[in-house]
Amino acid sequence: MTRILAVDDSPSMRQMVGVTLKSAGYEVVEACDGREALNIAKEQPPVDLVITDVNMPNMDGLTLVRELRLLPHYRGVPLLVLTTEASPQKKLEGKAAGATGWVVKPFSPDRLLATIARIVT
Amino acid sequence: MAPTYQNIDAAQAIAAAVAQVELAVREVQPAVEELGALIDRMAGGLGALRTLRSQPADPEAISVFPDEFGRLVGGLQKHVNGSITQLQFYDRLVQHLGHVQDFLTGAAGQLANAVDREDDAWGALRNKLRVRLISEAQRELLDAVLPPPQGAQFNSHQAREEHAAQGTVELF
Repeated sequence: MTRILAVDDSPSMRQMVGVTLKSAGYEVVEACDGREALNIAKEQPPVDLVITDVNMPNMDGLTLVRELRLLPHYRGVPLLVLTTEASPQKKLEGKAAGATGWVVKPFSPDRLLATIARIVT
Repeated sequence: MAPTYQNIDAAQAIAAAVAQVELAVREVQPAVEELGALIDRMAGGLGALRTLRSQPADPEAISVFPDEFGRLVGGLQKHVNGSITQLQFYDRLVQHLGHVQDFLTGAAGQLANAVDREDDAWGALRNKLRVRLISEAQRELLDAVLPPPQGAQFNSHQAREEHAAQGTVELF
């Protein structure tokens, strides 16, 4: 089963992403910030996709993306950023950090699932 | 008694916070109304499913049942997805109000410490809030009520673009 790591400091947002993903048959692993997500990435077998918020305490989403890209087993894993940030400048930062794509909140479940189906092989 | 600089700064900070709270409530209202409408439609869909289930075992009714069932379930799924989208505005509201709360806590701290106006502690507090605000509309409102020393620069085009970007997906 395809495993997805969902990273967001908001419990309600994690729940909404989780409900969306589980309804489509994905297994969901949750983390409340970049630091916890990075620990999961280091300690557990790699997931098939990471979806991360940007503004989080302890470690923000773009730092997480950069750190994950340094791990050999995460170089090819798609990393989606899910955020309220919509500025072109921020998107460029995300791209430079190694993100695969950028989704602006509030997300549409249909659109998110269609995107995941496209990038997860 | 003439107002002191400290009082003027505090009054401006409170006015800015009030404006942000008003905006937060205004921004979430359409989502709440849409959520109510979606729940109403889901209740209607569940009622239709119950009606379908209670129909007598008419062979013709049974033959159309799978299609009708699929249509109703598909409709419910669509409404659930719509609800997930609208619920995210609650998350946004909480985030926005959290930043305003921190700003007011900081303002209270400034008042308690009675800092020297020269050290621009109020300006630093304002800038911290501006960085943490999550939309261009929120930042524009802050600039209008509590302008930076160099004056506010409005770009409502940017705010409209940001609104239009909600829900978009861009693959790199």
